[in-house]
Amino acid sequence: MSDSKDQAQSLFLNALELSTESARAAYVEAQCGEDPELRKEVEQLLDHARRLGPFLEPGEEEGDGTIAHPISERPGTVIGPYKLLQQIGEGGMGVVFMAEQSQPLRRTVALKIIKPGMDTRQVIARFEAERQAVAMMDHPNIAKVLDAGTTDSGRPYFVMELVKGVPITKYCDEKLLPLRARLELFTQVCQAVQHAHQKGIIHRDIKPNNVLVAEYDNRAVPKVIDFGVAKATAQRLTERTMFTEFGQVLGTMEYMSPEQSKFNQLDIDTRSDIYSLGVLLYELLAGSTPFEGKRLHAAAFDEMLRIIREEEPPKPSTRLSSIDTLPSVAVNRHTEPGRLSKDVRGELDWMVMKALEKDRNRRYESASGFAADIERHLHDEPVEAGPQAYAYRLKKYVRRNKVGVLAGSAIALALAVGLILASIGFIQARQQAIIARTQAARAVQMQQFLEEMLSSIDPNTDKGAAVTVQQVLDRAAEKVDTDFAHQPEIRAALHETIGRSYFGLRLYESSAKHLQLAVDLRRRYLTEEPLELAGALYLLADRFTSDLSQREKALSHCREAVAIFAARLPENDARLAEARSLEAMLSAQGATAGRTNLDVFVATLLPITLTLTDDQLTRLPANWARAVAEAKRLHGEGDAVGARAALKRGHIATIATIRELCSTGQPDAARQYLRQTYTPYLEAPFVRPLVPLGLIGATHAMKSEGEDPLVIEAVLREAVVAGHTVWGPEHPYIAWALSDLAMLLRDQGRLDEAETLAREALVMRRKILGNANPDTVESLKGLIDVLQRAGKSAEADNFRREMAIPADDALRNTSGKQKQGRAE
Amino acid sequence: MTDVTQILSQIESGDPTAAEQLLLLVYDELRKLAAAKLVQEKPGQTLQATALVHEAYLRLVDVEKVQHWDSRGHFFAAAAEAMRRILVEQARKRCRREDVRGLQVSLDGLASAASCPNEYVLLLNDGLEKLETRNAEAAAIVKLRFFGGLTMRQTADALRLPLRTAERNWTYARAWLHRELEHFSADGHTDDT
Repeated sequence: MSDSKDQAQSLFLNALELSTESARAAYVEAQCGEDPELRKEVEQLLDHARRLGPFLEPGEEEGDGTIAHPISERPGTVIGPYKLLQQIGEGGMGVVFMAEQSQPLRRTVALKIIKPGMDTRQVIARFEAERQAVAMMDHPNIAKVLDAGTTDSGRPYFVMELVKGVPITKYCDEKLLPLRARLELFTQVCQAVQHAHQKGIIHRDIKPNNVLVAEYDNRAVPKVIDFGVAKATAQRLTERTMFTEFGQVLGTMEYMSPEQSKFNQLDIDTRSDIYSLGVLLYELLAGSTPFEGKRLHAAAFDEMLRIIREEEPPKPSTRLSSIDTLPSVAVNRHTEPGRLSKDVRGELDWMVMKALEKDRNRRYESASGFAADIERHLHDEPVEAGPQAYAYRLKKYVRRNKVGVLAGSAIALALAVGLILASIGFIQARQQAIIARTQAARAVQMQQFLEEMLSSIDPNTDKGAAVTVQQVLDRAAEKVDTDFAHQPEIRAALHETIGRSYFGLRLYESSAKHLQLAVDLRRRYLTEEPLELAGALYLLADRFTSDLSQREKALSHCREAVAIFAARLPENDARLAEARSLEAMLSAQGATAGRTNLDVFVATLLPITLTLTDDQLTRLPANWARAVAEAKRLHGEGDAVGARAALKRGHIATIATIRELCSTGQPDAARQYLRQTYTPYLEAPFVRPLVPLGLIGATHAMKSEGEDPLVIEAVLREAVVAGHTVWGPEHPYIAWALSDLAMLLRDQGRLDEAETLAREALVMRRKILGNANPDTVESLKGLIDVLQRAGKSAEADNFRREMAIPADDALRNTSGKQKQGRAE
Repeated sequence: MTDVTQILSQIESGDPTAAEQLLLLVYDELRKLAAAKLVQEKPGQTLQATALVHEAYLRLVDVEKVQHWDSRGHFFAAAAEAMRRILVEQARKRCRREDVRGLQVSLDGLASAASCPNEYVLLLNDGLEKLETRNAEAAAIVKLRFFGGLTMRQTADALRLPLRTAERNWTYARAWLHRELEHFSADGHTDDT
C-alpha cells in the first residue's frame, strides 16, 4: 500500500515536470498502464495540481519560479508593441528576451520579464516613480531603460537598450586582459555609476551580469544595464516580514552591501553601489568574490546576511594566495601567479578594502572618488586608501569576534569581552601599582597575547574552518603557561578568565581546573594580594555548587574566602555578603551531614542575622529580636557557637508562639507573626534567598521532631509567600515548598487542597525543570497518589500512562492528540 | 526571554527533555498573544497565524544569541505545531463539526492561515492528519509553510531537506490536500468519522 503511494507520488511529480499535457498523459500511460488504481491516483493528483491556484500558498510566493509557475511567454509572443525574438538571458529575477519593437520606430531591444512572486502594480508604480530620472540619464556607459509595462499574464516587464555584450568578468577573462586594462575598464564603470548618482539614481544591483562589455569599433565599452529596474523590483526586507522574504535577494547576495542586507533598508544610498563596485573590482582582480558564492548559498538565509554584515573578507591578495586556481586566474590576467599576487598586494588591496568597508562612512565618498584613486594608482601617484591603522584593526578583531565567527556562538562575545576586560582591569590595577614600569610592560604583553589568540580565530588563517569557542579556549589554555611561565600574575588572571569562559560553555570540569590553577598560582606566588585569592576561591566554590559531590571542597574554599574577606572588608561589603550567602547555601545543602536539621537551619540564618540593623531589630517580634541581638553580640565577641545557640533558643521560642496560635485556632495570626520575624531579613541584599530556603529547612527539622502539622503548614505557606517575594512566581524552591505542603495536607486527609497544590507544583516543575527531572517525576507520583486517594482513579491512570512515555519521544508525540491536555 | 534561548541550546546539545519544554513554552506564549489579539479583533475574524508565530519568536528568542538556523528550525517546528493546535482549538470552539458538514468549500479561500475561516481550519486539519499517516514529511512541510509561515527555503532548512525535495513534497501535499478537501466538500461528508 505505502509502496504504491510512494510510487504515485513520484510518478505524479515526474509527470508534472513535463511541459505538455500530451507528454504527461503518455508518461502516465507508460508508467502505470498495468495498474488502474495507481493510474487513477496519479491522474487525480495531476488534475488537482492544475487547479491548485493559490491553495495553501502563504501570501506572495518567493519568486523562484516553482514547478507550478513557469514563465509562459515564449519567442513569438507579442507584448504591446514588442515581439519576442529569442531568449538571451535568465537570472534570479527574470527572463530576458531580444525583442523587436514596431512602434513608434522599428528597432531591436532587450525585454526583461520579471518572474512571478512580485506584486506587478507595486513594481510598475515604483518604476513610474523613477521613470523621469531614468529618462534623464544619458551616458555612453549606461544602457537606457526605454519602457515598462505589464504582460497579458500580469507580469511586469522592462524594455532596455539592447547591449550585445558579455558580463565584464567574463569578457576580461576571455580576452586575458591584464590588470591595467581591467582597471581602465573598471574606472569607466565607476564613471557611469557616478553619472547615475548625480541624477539621483542608485543602481542597487551592480554585478557582472549587469555590467556588460560590448565591442564598438574594436574598442571595449562597458555598459551598465538595469538602472532603475532594481529599485522597482527590489523589495525592502521590511515590506513583508523578514521571514517571508527570500527569493528576490538570493541572486545577488555576493554583491550586496551590509546595509542592504539589513531588514530595515530604508536608508540605502549611493555608497551601497560603491560597495558593490568594490566587490566587482575584487572579482576582477582575484577571480572570485569576497564571500564566495558557494559558501553564501550553502548558509541559511540569516546566516548569509550575517556574513555580509559582520565578517571581514580576506584581502584580494590573501585570497589569491589561498586559492588552488591561482595559476589559471593568473593566466586570465596575462601574468604569472607570483607576479599577480605581488601586483595586487598593497595599494589595490587597500582600495578594494576601502570600498568594502562595513561602515559606509569609511568607504569612498563617490564612485568618481573610487575611479580617481584607481587612476592615481595607474599613474603611480600616492593613493587615498591606505593600510588600516593598528588600533582600528584591533577594534575590528573585537567586532569580528563579537558575533558569529566562532561558530556563531554568543559565548564568543563573552570570551572576547572577558579577555579584554581582564586586560583592561589588569592595566587599570597596574596603573596604581608602585613598580609601574615593569607592570605596564606586562600589560602590553598580555594584550599581545590576547590579540594573538583572537587573531588565531581569524577564519582566513584557519582556512575557513569553523573554530569553536572551546577550541580557542583550549588553545589559549595551552599557551598561557608557556608564554607567561615567569609571570604568575598574568597567568592567574588568564586562568581565571578562561575558567569563567568554560563555565559559560557549561564545561564545568575544565572551568574548575583553570580556576583551581588560578587559586594555586595566587596561593604560591601572589600572597601579597589576599583579596584576589579570596575572589578566585569564591569563584571556584561557586563553580562547584552545581555538583553536590564536591560540596565539602566547595564549602572549604568558600569558608576560606569568607575568612579572608571578613578580615579585610567592612561587614557591609558586597563580596563578603555574597561569600557568606554562598557559604550558608552550601551548608544548608549538607543538611544530612551529621548535624540536626535545626542546627543547619540556625547556621543558615546566622549570616543574615548578622546583617540586620538596629532599626530592623526593632521591627521584629520581641522574643526573636532579643535572640538576634544576643546572637550578634556573641558573634561579635568571637563566640560563634554561643551565637548559634542564642538563635536556636530564639527559634524555639518563635515556634512555641506559632504553635500556641495554631493550637488556639488562629493559624492566620501565626503566619502574621512569622512574617513579622522574617520580613526584615528580606531587606538584606544577597542573602534574601536564604529566607524561603531557611523556612523550608526549618519545616524539615520540625517534621523530624514531630511538630504539629498545623505549625508546619503555616511555615510552609509562608515559605511560598517569601519565595514569591524573592524569586517571583516560579522557582524550584517554591515548587519544593508547594510539593511538601501538598503531601502534608494529603497526610491530613485534606485531599482537595492537596490536589490543587500538587498540580501547581507539577506544572511549575514541568515548566522550569522539564519532564525528566527527578523532582518533576516525584511531583507526578505525588499527584497520582492524591488522585488515587480521592477516588479519581481514571485521571490517576492517565497520569500513570504519561509517566510511561519516555522523555526523548516528547517531540514526536506532541503532534498527536494525546497530549493536548498537557499543554494547558 | 532567555528561557527559550537556553532551551534551544539544550536541544542543540542533545537534551531530550528540552523539545517538550520548548513546545510548552511556545504554546503558552502563542496562546497569550492570540488571546490578546482576539480581544481586539471582531468576531469571525481569524488569527494572523504567521504574524503571531513570528511575534512569539521575537519575544521568546534572544535573536542575537540564536544564530543557527538549526535552532530556529526547532523553534519554528514547535511554533507551527503550537499554532496548528491553537487554530484548531479555536475553530472547534467557534463552530461545531456539524456546521462543517455539507459546507460548500471554496478552496481558493484556503490561501493562507491568516485568512483561513474556522471551518476550513478544521477541514484542513483533518486532511493534514490523514496526510501525516501517508507521508509525514509532506505533512510537516505543510505545517511549517501554512501554520508557521515559513518560506520554502526556510522550511527546507528547518527540516534539513534539500530545497528541491521540500518543493516536490510541497507540490505533492498541496495537490493531495486539494483533492482531499474538494472530495469532502463535494460529498458533503467525510469518509472517516
